[in-house]
Amino acid sequence: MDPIISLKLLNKWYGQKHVLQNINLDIYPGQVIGYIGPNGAGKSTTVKVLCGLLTDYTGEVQVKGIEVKKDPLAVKKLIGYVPELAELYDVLTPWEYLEFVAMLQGMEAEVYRPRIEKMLEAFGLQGNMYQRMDSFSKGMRQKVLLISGILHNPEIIILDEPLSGLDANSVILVKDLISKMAKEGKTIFYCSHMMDVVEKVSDRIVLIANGEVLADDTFEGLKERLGQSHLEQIFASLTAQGQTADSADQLMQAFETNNQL
Amino acid sequence: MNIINKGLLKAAMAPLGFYQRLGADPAQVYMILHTKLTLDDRTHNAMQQMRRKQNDKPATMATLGTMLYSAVLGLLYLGVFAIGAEGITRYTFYFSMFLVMLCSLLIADFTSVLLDVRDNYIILTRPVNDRTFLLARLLHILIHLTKLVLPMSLPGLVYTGIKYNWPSAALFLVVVVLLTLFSIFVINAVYLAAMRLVSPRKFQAIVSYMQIILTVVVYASYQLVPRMMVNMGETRFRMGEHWYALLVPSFWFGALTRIFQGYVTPYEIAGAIMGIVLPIVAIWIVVRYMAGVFIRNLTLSYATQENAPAQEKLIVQKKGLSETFSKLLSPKGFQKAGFLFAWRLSGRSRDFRMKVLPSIGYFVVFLGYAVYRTISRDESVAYPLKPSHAAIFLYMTTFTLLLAVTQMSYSDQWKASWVFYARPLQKPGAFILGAFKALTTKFYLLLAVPYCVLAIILLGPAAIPNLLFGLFNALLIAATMTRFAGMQLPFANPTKTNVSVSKFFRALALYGLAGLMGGFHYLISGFTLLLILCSLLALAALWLVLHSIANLGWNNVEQQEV
Repeated sequence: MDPIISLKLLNKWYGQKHVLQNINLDIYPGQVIGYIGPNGAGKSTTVKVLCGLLTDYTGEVQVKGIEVKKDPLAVKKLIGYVPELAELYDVLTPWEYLEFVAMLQGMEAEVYRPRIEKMLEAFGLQGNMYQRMDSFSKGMRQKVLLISGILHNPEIIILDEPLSGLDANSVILVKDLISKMAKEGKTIFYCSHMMDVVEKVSDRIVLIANGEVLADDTFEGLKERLGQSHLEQIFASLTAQGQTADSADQLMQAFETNNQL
Repeated sequence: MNIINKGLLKAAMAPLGFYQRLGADPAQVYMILHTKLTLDDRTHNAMQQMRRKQNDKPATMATLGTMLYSAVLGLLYLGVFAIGAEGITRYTFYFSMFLVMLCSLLIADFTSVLLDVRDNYIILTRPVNDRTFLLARLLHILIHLTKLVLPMSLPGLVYTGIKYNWPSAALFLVVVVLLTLFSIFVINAVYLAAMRLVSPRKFQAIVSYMQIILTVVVYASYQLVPRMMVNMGETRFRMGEHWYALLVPSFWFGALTRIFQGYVTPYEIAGAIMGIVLPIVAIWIVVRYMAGVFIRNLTLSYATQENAPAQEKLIVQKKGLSETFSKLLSPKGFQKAGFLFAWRLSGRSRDFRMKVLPSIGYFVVFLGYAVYRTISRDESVAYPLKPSHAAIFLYMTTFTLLLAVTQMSYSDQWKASWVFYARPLQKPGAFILGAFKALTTKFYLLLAVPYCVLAIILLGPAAIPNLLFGLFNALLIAATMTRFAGMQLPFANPTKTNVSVSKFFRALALYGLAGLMGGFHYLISGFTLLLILCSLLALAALWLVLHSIANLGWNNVEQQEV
């Protein structure tokens, strides 16, 4: 089977800073990739390259055989992206916003209208459909953002911290949705810091730090190789190298110098 | 969407076939423009934001508001035609105001409305090509310009038609187009220079300072222009007779408008030619040299707009004025915390800056005017400095302080004030006193003390008793207002549009008291001994009020549910 996403020797600089270093990845249809790494590791940069937002990279980035640099529009049609920052035109209503997005994706009214309604209903937002989003909570905005990412039924879905701000029921709904979409053959690229969720939803985990891929395996494979039982511990052992324990000690030592208020 | 936006959208989308030939997707252009115009309708523009209160109703027809505001500005510019000077001078002043206002409005709107960074995530992640996106942005800018320029020029157009003749009015329209082209050049130059020198975030801060300066310039021009024009009328000053008028862009536009209005001087003819040629040259420069960079900023320049990862460079904390003054005035504890907190936030909160800083500008303009008159010994004008009236400017500075103290309570981020409620703060009064001292130092003493020095230099030691009493009296007024107008924690409350009746009357009574205190000073301003005695009394009263603020507990302080 041909990979749906293929990264070969991907490099990216921000000025003097080398943020992605020789990244090689082949992702196959129907896979759920947990893409994890510490802050500033290069996760969001990889996602932006995949989405065609950043084109000043070197190396080869192909989505379904299309080179992103050559035809970013064709790639954008295949991808549904939910960014980490809840950027919305919040003076619009969910209906207006989603209609705008649907039209930019080139969808027909008879397709997007019932779909928007059903999706908003599924997330419990049917009563807020015609309300401006500037009064919405973070979770409500996140739900609209999620819908905007999957509305056009894309083959690849890139989720950057999609559960941020969601209540417990919505978290269950999104997790369920991810596994159902994967079963239908959709590829999910899931970036998150929430290790327990990544551990459960991903069937392959890619760990990146300082712009380099440190590990690329299934959760079971990583457990076996590193002798740790939780993803959190695997993450710490590969990225922090004992730093977390040192930092905690350092924090405690700060009290010792002067124990008073 | 309102009828004006609908009409403009329809007009903008008329050359559909042309857009297609350009390689843009007309359906997407329409949708982006439609959404952008809806957003415009629901978002206050830069000028409206300056006057907006947080609890104001959400905007529904901001476009109409912008156009109305533009028309009112255009009407105000007509004021120069009522004052004694001849045609070309009037038109030069008129177009100066037009040009300055248009440029500043556009610069402000460029960063907040026209170059919306959210587009990076919302539009650029969708299958929208560069040409479609660029065309949509350019059309949006064009519609925005039309909405500003058309109503702003309408009063001038009608006035020119009625007062002179209709060919002149037709020419006036052409002049407005040329002036708009010239302003695009100016904005491009400012924008590009700024983009090279500072980050977009810093640029927005610079824009807010520019707005403050503009407010002060407008105020200064209201103070000075009528007098200047009267003087020009009296001395028969004619701009068209001086070569240096050609250095003023608004003179070119004035001269061009005047072509069909009878006799014109050779300089006016030269100005009129420059008015046609230079905007065209300017726009050629824009297209030839600037547009490339500007358009890159307008289009898919995600990579250039994208912030590089945070700098790893170690930034060392600098000891500033705040530390120095806090050591002197609020050396420790909660008072020091309040002092530093208010000093820092008052300098960094955009809302606070926009509301308070213009009043300092007004003071400087007023003072500059008075000092000039005192030095030039022109007795025919109001407000020359006299020893007995030297303190009047100290009371004027109090206006800035009162504004700062009142504004100190409010913030857009008032919910962050949970931090006060979550700490073991026994007497919030100490914190408020620290904040009061910070604002008094920053917005009163730093203005009043140099003023006192200047007044003593200009007027001699005779002014000292008046200045001393003025200084203490003004501080007492501000402290009394802080203590009795309803104690609030600094930057910890949402802006309220509805003030309770009791609060309103209390504030009114306090202002009345402040007036009485000022009036009392006026009555005794000639009696040195009495002034010295009252200074001591005011100082003692000030100490008492400050002490009472410091001892206030939670039951005296207004609290918010955060």
